[in-house]
Amino acid sequence: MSDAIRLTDLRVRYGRVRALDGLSLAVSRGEVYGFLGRNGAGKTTTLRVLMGIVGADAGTIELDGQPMKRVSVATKRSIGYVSQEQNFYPWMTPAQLGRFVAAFYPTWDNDEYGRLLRVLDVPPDRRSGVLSGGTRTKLGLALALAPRPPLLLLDEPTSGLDPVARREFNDLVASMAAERGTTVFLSSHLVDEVEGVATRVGIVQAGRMSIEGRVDELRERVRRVRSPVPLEPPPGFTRVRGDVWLADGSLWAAAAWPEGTSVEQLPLEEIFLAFARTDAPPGAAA
Amino acid sequence: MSLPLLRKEAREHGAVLAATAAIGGLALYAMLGVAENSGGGRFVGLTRFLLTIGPLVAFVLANRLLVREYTGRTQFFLETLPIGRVRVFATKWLLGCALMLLTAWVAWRVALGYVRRTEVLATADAIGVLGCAAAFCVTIWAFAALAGMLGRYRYLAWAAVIIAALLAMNVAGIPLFDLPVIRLLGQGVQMATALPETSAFVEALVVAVLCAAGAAALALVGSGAMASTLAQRMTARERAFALVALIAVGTISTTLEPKPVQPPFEITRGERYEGRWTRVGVLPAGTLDADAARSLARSIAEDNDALIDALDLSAHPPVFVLAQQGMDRHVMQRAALSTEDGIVLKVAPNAPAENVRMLVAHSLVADATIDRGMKDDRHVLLDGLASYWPLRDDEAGRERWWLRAASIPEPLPADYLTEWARTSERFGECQSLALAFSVFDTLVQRVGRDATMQSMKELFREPKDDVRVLFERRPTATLAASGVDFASLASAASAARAEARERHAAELARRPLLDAAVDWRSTPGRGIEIETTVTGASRYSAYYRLLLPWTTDAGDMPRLDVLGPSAVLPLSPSRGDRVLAVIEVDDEILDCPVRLLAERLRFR
Repeated sequence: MSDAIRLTDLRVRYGRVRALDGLSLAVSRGEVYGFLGRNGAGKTTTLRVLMGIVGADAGTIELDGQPMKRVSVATKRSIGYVSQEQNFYPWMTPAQLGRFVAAFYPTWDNDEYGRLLRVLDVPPDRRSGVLSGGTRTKLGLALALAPRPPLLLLDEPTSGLDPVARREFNDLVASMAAERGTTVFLSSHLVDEVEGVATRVGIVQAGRMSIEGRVDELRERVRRVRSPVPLEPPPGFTRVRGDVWLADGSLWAAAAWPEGTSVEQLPLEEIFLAFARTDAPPGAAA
Repeated sequence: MSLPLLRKEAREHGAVLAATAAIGGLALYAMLGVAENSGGGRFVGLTRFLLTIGPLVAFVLANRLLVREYTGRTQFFLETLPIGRVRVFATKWLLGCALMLLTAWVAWRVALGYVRRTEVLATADAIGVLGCAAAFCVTIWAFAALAGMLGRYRYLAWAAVIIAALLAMNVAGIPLFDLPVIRLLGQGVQMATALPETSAFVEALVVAVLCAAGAAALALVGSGAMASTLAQRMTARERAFALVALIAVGTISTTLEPKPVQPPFEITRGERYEGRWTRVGVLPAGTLDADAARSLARSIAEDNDALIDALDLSAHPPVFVLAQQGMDRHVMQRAALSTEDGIVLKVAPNAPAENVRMLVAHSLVADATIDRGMKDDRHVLLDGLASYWPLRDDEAGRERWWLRAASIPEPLPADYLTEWARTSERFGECQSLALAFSVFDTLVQRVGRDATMQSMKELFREPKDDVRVLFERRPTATLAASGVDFASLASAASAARAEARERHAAELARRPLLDAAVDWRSTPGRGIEIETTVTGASRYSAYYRLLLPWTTDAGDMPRLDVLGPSAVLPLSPSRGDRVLAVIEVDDEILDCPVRLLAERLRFR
């Protein structure tokens, strides 16, 4: 079965700035993929490429097995998208917005939209300009989910939400993915949020993929090694940063360490911190 | 076009557009009423409405449809929807265009109703007015859309256009209805009697297409990033700069004196002759009596008519010759007037008639070629044609000019024909004109007058007044088509001058032997002095000009008439300066001033 998303050696430049510098990743169907990276690492550019808002200078894009140079308008009909900022027409109410957006999606489900507004507690008759940031984000999610898209792209959608709203938002996304088999591509720099939702994560740094894999798999492979004596990584091990090393899970078990050496698994946040630094080795993807 | 987007625009801007329509309707009603009461033309009210309210409507539409989407950042929301950026822009642009066309149609319809209250006017007779109004509105919209896509700089774009129009009217003296695009609403349209020239429509179309292309580029290039960036608010520095620039331009434009609009040049007295193409007026004075003036006018008209036919020129300028006592008979001045005023010359009453006719022919061709006939690589042929033309059927006259040509010492440098400015400077007006005459007469004798004139027609055709002029055929190629090249022409002309020298040996032998020199010295307290000396003549003329670094052609030079052998020029150059010094004497045998010396001095 083909992947829902496959990006290969994607490159995008904004003038002299390399926003994406050979990014490659693959997301399976029905998967919730956490796309982690620091600010400016290339997360939003990747999502804009996937939405066809920005064209790639080089590399290939495959959506649902279909290779394309740029995501077409027809393909966008099968993608739901929630951006960082919700730039709705401030004079439109959620109901009016729904009618406006519905005209662009043949699969729009008006009942589902109404249900989502109720579930997310979004008032349908208040102008969007007077809604709070959190409510606007939930409105964005409702608009993105109402056409029942097989692919949902989320670009740091919860960065402005309070913890409760964030939990509600993430729960809804997780349940949608489970119920409908929707593929979710969640971009964020909030590691705990991604860890709670994602089945697989990728850490992007300076426009390239640093490491990619299931969360438990990453915790198997990336560990902290503390030793009373100076240690150099043995064959098969790579020093990521400081005392954080990378190796296959089997090597960790087989390795013989000097006396007093401790090897500990890391939370995802520590792994993210190690890989998201600029001096982390790129191309360590699983 | 996108129907959902159109519905959105209607909901978003309906109220503002309705208010604009109401205000526009009131303005139209008022303007039609005022125009009717003031007894203007049939569609004066309509044109006033289009000129004042039309741009306002376009501005409002551009602000609502385009600018608002970017300043409100809602285009980012549109980009997340499955609709292409091109379709969004096209929908908005075409909607604005349609609303402008609707404005034009409604205004025209109402204006036509007003006209029909007092006279019978068929729709078919007024449909041209609608076409002009529509073309005007579309062009204005295209500009408004482009300005709108400039985001925070849109006010500057509008201000620049308005200031340019004001300057064109107040300083350059161009009437409002002669300005590009506004030409569409000229007097013929106001009276519903005539449509503007096709060029007015082409002009408007070009402006509209360029503006539309510019707006589209701003909207689409770089994934629309340019328009988004431009839509951001002006920085404090930009605001200050824009304010200062506007104040500066406004201040300067108010201090400039408007150029007075003058009627074309005309003489109320004197002798007139109306040729087939050319109208000539000659003002007699002194020895140029009425009969001589009439004869000169007739000759000039015949010369010009024949030359216009031979070269197939479309310009038929009037010619005025004003005789003025006290002028040197060899000095002729052309008034620096516009081409609409024609060729206006001031000459001495006893100026040789053939010289006057030569200058008229020269001016005719030079003006028709927008002075390209005076480019160095073909100027000899223009001078030759101008000097030959009045003498084309005058054997005695031609021999007189051959005598002058024969007085030129040989050999001449090989490139003297194609570096005519240098040749003219060396030989002076009389002998360089004789030299050009000898070249041209030789050409006529070699290939015949018809073939020569065919080449001249090709060479002195009216050039394209745009970039296409760069691709015109070179004179050498034109001559080559007649089997002639400058080298063989120079050689044949030289041989012909040698023959003329033999024919006129006796006259040439009577010319006095003259020697001229120019020298300079630098003395403490008096600076640099330039001294001219001539031996063998009792009087002579010295001309001089300080040459600036960018001076190539000295042009008209101050003249010092000298009695006696030597004189110091009234000029105090400094070290490093350059001066052109020229010495000429009146040659009684040649009956014209002859240049003895032309020297460029550099003071080191």
